[in-house]
Amino acid sequence: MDFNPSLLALIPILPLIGFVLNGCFGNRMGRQFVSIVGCALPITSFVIAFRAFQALRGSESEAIRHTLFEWIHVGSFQVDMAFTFDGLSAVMCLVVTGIGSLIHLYSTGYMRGDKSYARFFAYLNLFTAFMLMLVLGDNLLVLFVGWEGVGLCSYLLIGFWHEDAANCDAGRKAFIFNRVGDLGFLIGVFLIFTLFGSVNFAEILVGVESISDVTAPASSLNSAMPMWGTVAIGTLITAITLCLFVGATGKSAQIPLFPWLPDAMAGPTPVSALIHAATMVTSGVYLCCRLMPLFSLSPQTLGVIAAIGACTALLAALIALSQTDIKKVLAYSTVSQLGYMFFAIGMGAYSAALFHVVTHAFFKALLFLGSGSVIHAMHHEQDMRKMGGLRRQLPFTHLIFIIGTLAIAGVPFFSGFFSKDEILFSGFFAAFHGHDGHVHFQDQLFWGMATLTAGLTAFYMLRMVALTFWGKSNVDDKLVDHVHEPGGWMPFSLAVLAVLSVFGGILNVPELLHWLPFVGEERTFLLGNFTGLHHAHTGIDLDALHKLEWTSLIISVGVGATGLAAAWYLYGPGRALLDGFVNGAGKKLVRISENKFYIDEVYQILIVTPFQFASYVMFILIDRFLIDGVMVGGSALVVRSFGEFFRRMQSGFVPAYLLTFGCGALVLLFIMMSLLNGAG
Amino acid sequence: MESVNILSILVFTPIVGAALLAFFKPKNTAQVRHAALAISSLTFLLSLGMLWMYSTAMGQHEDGDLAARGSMQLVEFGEWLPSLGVHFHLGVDGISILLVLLTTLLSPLILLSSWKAIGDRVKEFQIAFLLLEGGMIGVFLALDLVVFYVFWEVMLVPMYLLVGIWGGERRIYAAMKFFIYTMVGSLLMLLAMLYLWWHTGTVQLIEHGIVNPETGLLEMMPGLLEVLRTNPLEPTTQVWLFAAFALSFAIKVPIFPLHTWLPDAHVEAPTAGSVVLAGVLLKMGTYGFIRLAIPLFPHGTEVFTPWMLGLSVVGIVFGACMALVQTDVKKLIAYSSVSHMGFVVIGLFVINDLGWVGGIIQMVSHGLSTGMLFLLIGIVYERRHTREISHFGGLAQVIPVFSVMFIIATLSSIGLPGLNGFVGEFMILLGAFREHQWIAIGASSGVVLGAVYMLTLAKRFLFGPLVHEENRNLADLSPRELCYLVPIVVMMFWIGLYPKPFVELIEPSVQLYVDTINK
Repeated sequence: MDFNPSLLALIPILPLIGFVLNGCFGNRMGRQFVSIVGCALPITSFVIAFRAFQALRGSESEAIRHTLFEWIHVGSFQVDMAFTFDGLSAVMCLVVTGIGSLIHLYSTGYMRGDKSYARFFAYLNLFTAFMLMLVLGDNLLVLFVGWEGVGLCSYLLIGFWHEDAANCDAGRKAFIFNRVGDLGFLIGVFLIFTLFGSVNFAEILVGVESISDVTAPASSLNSAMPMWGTVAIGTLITAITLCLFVGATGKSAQIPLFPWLPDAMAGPTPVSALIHAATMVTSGVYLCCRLMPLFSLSPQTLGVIAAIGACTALLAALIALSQTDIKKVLAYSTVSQLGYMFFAIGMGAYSAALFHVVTHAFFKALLFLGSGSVIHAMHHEQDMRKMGGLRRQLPFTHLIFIIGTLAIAGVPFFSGFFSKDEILFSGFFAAFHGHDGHVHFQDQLFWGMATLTAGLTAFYMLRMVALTFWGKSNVDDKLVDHVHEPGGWMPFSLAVLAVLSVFGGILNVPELLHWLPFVGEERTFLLGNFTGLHHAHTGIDLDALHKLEWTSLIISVGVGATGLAAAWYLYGPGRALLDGFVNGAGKKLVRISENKFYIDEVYQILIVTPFQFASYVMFILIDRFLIDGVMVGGSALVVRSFGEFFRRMQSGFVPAYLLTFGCGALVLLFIMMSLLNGAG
Repeated sequence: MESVNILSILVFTPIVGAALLAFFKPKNTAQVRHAALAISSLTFLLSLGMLWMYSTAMGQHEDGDLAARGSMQLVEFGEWLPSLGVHFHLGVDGISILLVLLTTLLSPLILLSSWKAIGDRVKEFQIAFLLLEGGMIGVFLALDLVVFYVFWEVMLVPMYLLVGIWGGERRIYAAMKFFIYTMVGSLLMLLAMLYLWWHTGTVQLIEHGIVNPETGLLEMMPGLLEVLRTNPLEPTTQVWLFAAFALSFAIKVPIFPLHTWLPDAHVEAPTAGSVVLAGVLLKMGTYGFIRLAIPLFPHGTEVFTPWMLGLSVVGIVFGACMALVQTDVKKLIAYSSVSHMGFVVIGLFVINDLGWVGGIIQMVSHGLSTGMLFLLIGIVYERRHTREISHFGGLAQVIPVFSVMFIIATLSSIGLPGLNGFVGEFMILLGAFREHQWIAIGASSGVVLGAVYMLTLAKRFLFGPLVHEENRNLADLSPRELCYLVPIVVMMFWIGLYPKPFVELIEPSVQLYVDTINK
């Protein structure tokens, strides 16, 4: 199929046009105009992306490229505003435009009554544009434009209802946490340019391929290396990948930079679905996949990523157990699932991580939009303690939640089952077979944490369903008659996402299960899968692999089923048992979980307060007292030691020159200032 | 075309204009305002003419060597004080041209911004401002040390008056502090210039032709750059001379710990004064480094480089910390300037093409973004007569257009990619990383800190509930106000999205200088 590469640029540009139109004219043109512009342009982008995807499948080439213009070019440094559409970009692009379009449609209903309707769609379109730049960028800098741009939109949309200061604080927190990560990202980019002489993905990967020995000095790779020419390539690559991973922890809410994501739930619920579940927060995973060969060269970095991923997954799941705000549960669940993805990357299972990005986007967007329906129906009540029994009034939404929960819990043949199984199997393989034939204790520990998380996930998700939809109603009497199912486009988006959450797994069914109907080898073209790749790479016996995979699969399904059963029992017939635990033996544990392990408090005490205090002290002490005050107070000293200075002058010692100069100037200043003070 | 002395015309249009304004009736303020605006707009158009002539001249050497494309163009060389070897010597190259354009662009915008804010001694204000504009352009174009010094001082006096006459309550204190700091600096610079003149016998910066009175033939005489290259000064002398120039320039930038005049001057200055101070005057310091101190004294530069880099990193972090604890919005922006200008100094002292091109782009960028922030603060000050951040909050609900502008300026200031601030900062850090990775990493922390204090400001200024009833009836931007903000916004996006034309103007000259220095 013919595909004009210049159409690629349209994919991000169309939503950008939507932003400009809605931002400039939206208020004057009315809601109809805003809805049509806001939804039609992302949908068109989806169509173009889909056409590009078909063209890519049909052609021999690995990628479609298009350069828009030369962006920055100084000396040997050159970056273009250029886009690449390859398999990885295709997956991300289709997810962003596809789910993005559905969420835009949903928003036409959800935001119907809002006075800033046009502004909302403008921001949402701008987000889509930046997110598409991020996944289409041909080099690290275009990616960074998108990376920062989505951060900006996240900031604007979290604080969308800006009359409430708490929302703006949440937005600011998100931006600043992300900026800390960006610092790592930037340093990573500097290192990459220094080592490879380019920031283009293609050229970096060529450079990576040409590395034969990671212990060789870096100057053997790039003769223009400045001064660390003797540092081993491997060391530099570990530094690069760690820096980039710091960037990823900011954007993808991993330890230690995750506390912004739960607060980000202050934004409207479609925003939480699009930005803080399905797309933006997965960009850290995307970055690692994009530079996969580079990450693979550093086992140290992969070890760190696996550890952070497993710890984040478990920690967030533990916090999610006790949250009472329906969106907070989903937020911590997102952090936890992102932890899964990084765990997979740490295990070298990039395809599994990316596959989980896709299925997670399906079911988490579904769950968030479903929670949006609940919140919409409940007139912006988010506390699950004031819900209960909603199954009767919201049967459709209830069904949506059940589907989402089964998908995320990894119940067989739902989409989440396939991707989660891949991830847990990659961990299981490392823990009990070993990538290099040896098993390591830490791999077993990480696998244990990941498996435990799977059980906890099933538990807290069903707990959420039980609290919201089952049991007796705690709904305010005034509200109870107004509770209603969503209208307009909202059920449509939910239905499509529900179908994807159920069947999305067929996009990349593991090799083990290829005997299932409707799937087969030809459907794994998108991502490839762990078993197949491992078999191909290392030549491990396929039967042995299958045996391991079956074991892993049975364990993970068993753990998930246990979690579901436990939640069903404890929040149903066995409620008394649970209450007894919560108010008795487990009181302290529950308190810790409820208070999110006191992480916000720790940040406040260790970083925010000392920093502000230090700034204030410096202002008084250095700026006011030392610099402004020294002209008056310290001058006597200066005069007394004048003779000293004259002797030191000839020393050729730079600090002495500086000191003489500084003091000379200060004396002059002092004389004039005292004249001034006397006069004034 | 050769016969048009465009640079002299550019320098003297505002100065002669100021002289003409003296004949206007002081009472007829509208007429004076229009005339001044017309003069500075004419200057801007002339500077576009200069840009056109410069590009044409550069275009002639499209395939030519670097020296031809990067060297001084449109050079003018006139008699002034021939007995002392002082000549009216002007020229423009890639290093100065954008700064001249920044000056001529901001000037009419500033006059437009003070249309209503300045109600007292209108005529004197316009005259002082036009003199200031002429002085600033003169500094950027001067190729003779004496001419440079004269313009440097010419610029100082009107600025002092702007703060001292049209300023706030503590204006006299602030003006004197500004004056004394700057005078100390310029006195040392004058001494150093005298030494250079005594030592080399010339005050011309670059090679120039002089008609030999005996033979009547044109002879090429070397300028300071050439003389000092073939005949370098003693290392110790270089250290002292560099220190003298550097102190003067460091005060202007300002480099930590010489910055305390800046917050006072900004707070007391009227909006016009703050904008011109942040927009152009601070760049005099960094321009001085790039034009004089670094190329003339390579050894001195080498000796002081670790100090300048170290102090800049300290300044970046310190300025950001100070900005965080300010309660006066103008002080906050003033300290943010200390932080942002630290990046420029780092760019200049790593002495490679990325650092210098980034440094110059960052000078222009900072002029635009900080200038715009001061213009915006001036707008609310005109309506509310307060600069305390706590007197605002929730403005986004009442003045949405203003808020959008404020957010754009904020994002530009914190270096969001796609806007101007990112391009310069990124080049500087990348350039610095090659030579001194720890300095670059330290400076990068400014990226985080900048977001902290600017977003905190935006939140306390624009968002949250509308707590003060006085703010409920604030008027949004008027067409006049939009008129002077929109051009700046356009430039911000242009530099951020398509910096190529700017880089192409700068790069050949920078290459020429950097190659010579590193040789």
